[in-house]
Amino acid sequence: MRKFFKTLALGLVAATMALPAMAEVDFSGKRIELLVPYAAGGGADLYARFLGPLIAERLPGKPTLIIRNVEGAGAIAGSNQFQDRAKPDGTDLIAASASVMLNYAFRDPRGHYKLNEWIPIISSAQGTVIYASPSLGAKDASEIANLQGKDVVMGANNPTGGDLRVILAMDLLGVNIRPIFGMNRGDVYPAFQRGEVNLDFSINNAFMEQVQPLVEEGTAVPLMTLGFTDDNGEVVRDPAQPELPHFLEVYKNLKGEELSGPARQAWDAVFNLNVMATRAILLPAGTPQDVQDAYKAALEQLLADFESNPDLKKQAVEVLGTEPQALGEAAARNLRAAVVFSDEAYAWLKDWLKTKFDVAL
Amino acid sequence: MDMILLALTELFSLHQFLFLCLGVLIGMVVGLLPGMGGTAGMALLLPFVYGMDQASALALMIGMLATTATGDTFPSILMGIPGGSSSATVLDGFPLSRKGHAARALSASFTASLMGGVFGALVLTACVYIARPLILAIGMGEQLLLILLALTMVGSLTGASPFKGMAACGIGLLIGTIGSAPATGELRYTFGSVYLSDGIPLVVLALGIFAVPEIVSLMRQRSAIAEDAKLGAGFMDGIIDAVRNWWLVLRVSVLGAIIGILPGVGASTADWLAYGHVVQTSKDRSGFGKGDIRGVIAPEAANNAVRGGDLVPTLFFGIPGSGSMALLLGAFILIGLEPGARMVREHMDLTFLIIWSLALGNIFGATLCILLAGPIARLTLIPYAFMAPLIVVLMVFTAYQATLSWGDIVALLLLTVVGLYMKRFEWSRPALVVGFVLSPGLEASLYQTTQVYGLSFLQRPQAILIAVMVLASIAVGMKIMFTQRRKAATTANAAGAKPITTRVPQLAFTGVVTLVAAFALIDVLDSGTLTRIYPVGVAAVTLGLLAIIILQQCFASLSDPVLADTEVPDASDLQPSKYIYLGWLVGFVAAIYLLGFTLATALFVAAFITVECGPPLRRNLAIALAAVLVLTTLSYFLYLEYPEGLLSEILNFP
Repeated sequence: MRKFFKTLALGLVAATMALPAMAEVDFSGKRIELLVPYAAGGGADLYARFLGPLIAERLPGKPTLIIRNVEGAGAIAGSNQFQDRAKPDGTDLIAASASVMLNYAFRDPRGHYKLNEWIPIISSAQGTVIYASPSLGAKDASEIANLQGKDVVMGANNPTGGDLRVILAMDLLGVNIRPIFGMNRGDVYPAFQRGEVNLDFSINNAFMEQVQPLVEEGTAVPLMTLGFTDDNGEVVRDPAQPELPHFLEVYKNLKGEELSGPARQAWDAVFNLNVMATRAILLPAGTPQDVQDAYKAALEQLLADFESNPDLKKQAVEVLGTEPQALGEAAARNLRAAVVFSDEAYAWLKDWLKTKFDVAL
Repeated sequence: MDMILLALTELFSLHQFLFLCLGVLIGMVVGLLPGMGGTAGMALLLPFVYGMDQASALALMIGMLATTATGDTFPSILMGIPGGSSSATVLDGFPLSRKGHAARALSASFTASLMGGVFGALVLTACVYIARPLILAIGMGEQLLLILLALTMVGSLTGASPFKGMAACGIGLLIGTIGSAPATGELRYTFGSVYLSDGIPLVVLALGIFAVPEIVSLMRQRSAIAEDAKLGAGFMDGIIDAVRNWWLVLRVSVLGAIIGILPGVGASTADWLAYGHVVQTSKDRSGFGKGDIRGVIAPEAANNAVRGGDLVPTLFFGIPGSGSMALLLGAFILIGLEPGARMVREHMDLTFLIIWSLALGNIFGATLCILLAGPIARLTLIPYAFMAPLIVVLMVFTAYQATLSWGDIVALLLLTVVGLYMKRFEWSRPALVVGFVLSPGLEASLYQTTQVYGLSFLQRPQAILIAVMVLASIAVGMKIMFTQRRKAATTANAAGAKPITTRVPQLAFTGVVTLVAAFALIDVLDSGTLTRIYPVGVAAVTLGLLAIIILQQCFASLSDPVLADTEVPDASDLQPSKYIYLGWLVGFVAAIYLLGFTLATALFVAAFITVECGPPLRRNLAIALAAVLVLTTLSYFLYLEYPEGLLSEILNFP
């Protein structure tokens, strides 16, 4: 009973302290600009267009929110512009996805934005399923060894982009993977059906619609997911595909030991970049705490509304996937883990890219 | 069949019908603004779609998408401003306006749009049943051959000097390699700039190479857009033109629909390929580029047919073929639909609703435009001094909308200089643009096909069929090139053009082009193999062609088209120099840099009218103020962004 009162008292104190702070933040009549450093219509753009207005209408004062697409140079143009121009008062936001983080993590000289100083308000994971053509002779992950020695062809955009996660995973498993570069996701899917490529991957929310029909007609075999990090920081099976093993499991079964050393560090880094923190919405560096808190409250409200409104939930699953969303501190943790590479991991990856694809980071 | 009619009755319930009409109107307005297309329209509609019922939302969005490619014909034909999807229409559309045939060109193009758009809807209907086998039959090898087929059409666009035309195409291919290499992601020819990482946008290139040089000559002639300041043929003639060319409309519609279906080829190539096709297959080619109505009909039919094709991968696979389709996909999710084969099967009624909306949207949009064509064509009678500055403002605005960066404006200025000299020395500008639009697809599919198939794709029957078409097209192209050359040689003296007395300027320009190509060759030599192999190959062939041109220019007779010069200096020339007007453009850009777009527009419009036309100052200021008012209103309602100047940065106002 005493504990109860103590909690209550603490709660009251916290509430009274929080109230004046909340009251100061008011966005009425303001216009929030959410910068999307990609062309309209991409994955990150839809993410922003879905979440942006929902967040805005839950902020104090219900500001209007507009999306501004500043595409170019693999998201570097928009990210640089955000670094230079964003006002740290809560009226400027940026939606980031894989290439914003990859270009930062890989230290692209054209970018001068400081991603590690920006403040994420939400970050979203994107579970990945790898599937193969039955012609490769593996009917599930336990037969992954059958892929060794075969000519395994996949379509990828470029060696340092989001496809890296799958190329690296297959290479670590000793599969002789041959990526055909310059292909967008939309080109790869029909190419897989034509038999031009025989290994492909899909993000979870597209899996049901695009890959499941192929699995049912027997022209595709799902092999594994890339896994998911739980609240304790452990890599576990993807909650959206619990029946499929994840990459580290498959690796251990195949090789008889855990993936370790610099290769493990490099894998963790790529996994965090391409799976755990693929998308995020961020405030610029130096945004005051009360504004951050207002955003955090709006997002908590939004996640609660997802649960209570089935229609909204359905859309959220379509756009964000079934994975849990990370807010505030958790989002910041995921993002930092992804974009700040250890020197060993960076050196290993740099060397790997050079020897495999003759690409200099 | 029942389903098809059921969807139609649903669409004719008043509610959905009103949304379709609203979509059509929005599509027209968005299309009217050059540089804005379906993507901008979708972005605008998306917030309102949320919470609407499925059928109404679909009618609204498809109605809008159906007409953006129709509305943007107005600026293309009337002002020579290539829009999002009608850039090839400029080639003959603007010359028709100059002849006073604006109304005819407009109504011909809208009628062609209507027919092409309805054909696209038919294709979409057929695809409900055959989409999958079709997409599976056209593999990487077939796509490569289709791009090669498109490239051979350049043969019909070279103009009087085949080598100059082919070299121009080579330069276009090289400009298309700027940015990241498809196979490695490594950067080429970017000089460390962020802007060039993605290459030059097509709109900026088309504006610089075609549109601005045409406006400069309009200003030099000091005439209204319609040269004789009177209107010739009316809108009925245009409708008759389009209907009479129904066979052409059908062919280019098939072409457009196929391009739309294949994600790798790129919808923006459709109108250029249609243009190449019509020139290649016409018996009398002398009028193309000078105002042949068929040069308007072909690209317009094709770019509306693209929409039907474009929807195929989006609806049936959930794969967007373009930016606007990706947004449409997002909107589907917002209204609770999951696009893909399953949606088509389980929501057949909605699928046919989409198809009907597409067909009816095209019909309404085109009909409305045809009715407006007559009155709006009167714009071409306005004296140049009022019209020209507004067109220049609109061109800079259009260029800036491409990527919202100052790079767009700088690239526009540089390309304008190139375009002015290509025009003067009669280098084929269409050949350059066709090379440019095909370059990225050609490089990517060359590499991918050789990686996956080697040469074995040539054993597939569908590939053999296209390969035969490629060879036939090359043969036709050769024939055209040499007959044109002969014809040009015989008519050159008869035309009464000013005799050419020197070969120095021509050689100097060829020299500069050669230096650029040589630089392109050397600059990539120390990149990785897959990064350099394509540009090195293209540059080597181009340099070979340029070497032949230099030899010809040194030794051919002065009347040979290889030495063409349309601006021989002449004491009797009363036209002001083009450099004066280039100076106006540079001045305007400098003013934008200092004052920002809105203030600079006011200053530029007022100053230009005052200098060219004289007082009253009050009237000139009123026109400038009206221009600013329109810009600010648009910016507010469409969330447009204009280039900011130093002034606004100093004063820190929005």
